Amino acid sequence: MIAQNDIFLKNTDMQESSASSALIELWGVSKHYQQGTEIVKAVDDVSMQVQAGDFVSITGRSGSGKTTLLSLIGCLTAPSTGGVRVFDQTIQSLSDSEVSALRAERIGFVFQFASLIPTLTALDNVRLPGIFADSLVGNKYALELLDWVGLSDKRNNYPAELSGGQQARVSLARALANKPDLLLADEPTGNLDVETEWEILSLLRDLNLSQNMTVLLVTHNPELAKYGNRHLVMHSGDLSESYEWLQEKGVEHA
Amino acid sequence: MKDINLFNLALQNLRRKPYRSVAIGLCVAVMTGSLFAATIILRGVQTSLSVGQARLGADLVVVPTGYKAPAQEAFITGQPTTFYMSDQIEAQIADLPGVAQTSSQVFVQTLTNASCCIGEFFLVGFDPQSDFTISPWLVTHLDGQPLGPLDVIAGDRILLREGDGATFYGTNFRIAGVLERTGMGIDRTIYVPIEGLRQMIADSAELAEETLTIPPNEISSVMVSIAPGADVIDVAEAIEGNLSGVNVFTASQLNQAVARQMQGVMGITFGVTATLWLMSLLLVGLIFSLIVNERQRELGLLRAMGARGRAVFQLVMSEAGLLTGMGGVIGLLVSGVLLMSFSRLIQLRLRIPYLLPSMLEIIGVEVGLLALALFTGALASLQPALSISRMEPYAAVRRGE
Ligand SMILES: Nc1ncnc2c1ncn2[C@@H]1O[C@H](COP(=O)(O)OP(=O)(O)OP(=O)(O)O)[C@@H](O)[C@H]1O
Ligand SMILES: [Mg+2]
Repeated sequence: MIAQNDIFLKNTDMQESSASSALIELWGVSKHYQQGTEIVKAVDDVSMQVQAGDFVSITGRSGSGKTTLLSLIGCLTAPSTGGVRVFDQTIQSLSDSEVSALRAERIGFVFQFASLIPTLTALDNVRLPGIFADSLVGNKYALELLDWVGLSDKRNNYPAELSGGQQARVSLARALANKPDLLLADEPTGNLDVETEWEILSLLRDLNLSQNMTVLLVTHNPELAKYGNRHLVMHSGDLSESYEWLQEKGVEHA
Repeated sequence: MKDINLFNLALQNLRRKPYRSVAIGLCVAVMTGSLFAATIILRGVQTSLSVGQARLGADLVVVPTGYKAPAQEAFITGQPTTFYMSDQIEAQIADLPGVAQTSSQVFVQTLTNASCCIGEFFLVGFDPQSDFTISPWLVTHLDGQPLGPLDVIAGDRILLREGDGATFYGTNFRIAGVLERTGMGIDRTIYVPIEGLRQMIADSAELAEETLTIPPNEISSVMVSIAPGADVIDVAEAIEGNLSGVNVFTASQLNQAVARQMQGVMGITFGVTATLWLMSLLLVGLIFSLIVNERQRELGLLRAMGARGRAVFQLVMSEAGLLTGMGGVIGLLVSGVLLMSFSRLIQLRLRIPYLLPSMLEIIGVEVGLLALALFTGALASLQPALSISRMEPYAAVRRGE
């Protein structure tokens, strides 16, 4: 299949002890779900590494396991088999408080679907993650973030009063509230118009370039996917480097 | 929101479903309030009894055969009753071994529409010379002056005060003193010196609308105190054995009479409140599993933002605590106000001795019941709170979709 290289490893028994500077490291990770009598392999034996500062695009058909993969990396769920290492910590060995602290302080998650808290205004939604981190999110910083996504005038609106795209942008602002090192964005541009889609992409690129934030972006739009410095494709739980992308970058493959 | 924290988040969530929140709060309020009322009434009876028993002042009360129950009722609730026996009996009792003191009393017919006083009350003649049961309990009395034949002593509920005048059966009396409140029948009794009473009876033919016909040599009861070292039961048996036509009851039998009377009412009351408590427990439990269910996704999102399992647990528990706590406070307040306003009605309607317990005790009961309300909330929401706090964030987010 595809040649192994330093940024992408598949079906390899990588040991947890193997020294590496990777920000994210998965080895032999599977996530199985029981659906009736059937076992769904949402993520099937995936091994990968992501370096700090990478901008990784992930595409794949609906149901191929992208959200599941992101949830595994974001410590929102535990793998059925295999191991996950983020920020040099093996997730399975951490307590709930430690994993929670990691999520609060270092990882920002933008969900695929509306994820704002309906009882809170846009501004309060952005401030919300602060109560779970070491320091609260100040009003001023929350406003800056809203401003950055172009919504400072909607600060006092409730999610129900925002359009889908506006909600998505508030979600992005909220994911950044605790100044994470890693941003996991699951189709933040889901059902937005092309223009808004590009706007959000450029915000993400900006974060990646100016703050060296590691970004994993799941998208259905192949055009958007090109803007990563890596492009991964999920196929029925399998993860592989995008063929086109490899070709474009001139990487050899067997 | 000014300060964004778990507590405010919980408060906000309760406001989101005002009707549901109010319904739970009310349920807990009713539960706490009725438990409070039942407890305070029960304690009120016990307080009244212990005061009243001391106040009876006598170890034994001797009445004509067959009048034990009405006599006890008269002491407990002030329900007027009349019965008579020969005044020879007092002397015969005084001669028996173990008897230290005796004093007789004469009960007079009901006064329902005396011009002086509101409500039904009870007129009792007593002998100031031999009396040892009433005089010691005067809270106010005319200084230094011995009780004249027309100087009467009023129970606390008569609504007359020292120095007031009052006319019974055409005879003018003066209130010489007011008795300390007991919550028992004594509060609705007016004690008249026997000399004045006999005069009133004699004059009633001429002065009153209704003529009293109580022969001068008849009495209603004899109060007995026993000598130190003598046994109450022995003396009681000796009296009933040696004298014919009399019944004896002891001070402690008054308690038993009340206990019998109370058993039915209190049994039902506590049965009902226990059921109420169980129902609120189930209701709060049910509603909180619903709440947690419908908010699974949201709680999962909080977890994804970095909330620990413990924080989500605390959030759900604070919502339950806030609801049941507020419900409890409201229940206690309303029930407290009702109890204070209607304590006299309670006493009359339930025909029980009733004295409001001390403030300290009331506060103690309130604190205890508030704790019970909070405990109910905690117990009811424990399972849903635990299950959501232990759920994987991804599963919670996904299941709520
Ligand atoms: N909690 C679950 N229980 C059962 N099956 C699940 C669960 N979560 C995911 N799956 C299954 O795992 C597979 C991958 O789901 P996933 O959400 O990761 O797909 P996706 O690539 O994000 O799809 P989409 O592009 O539509 O969002 C699907 O077949 C889905 O039905
Ligand atoms: Mg998805």
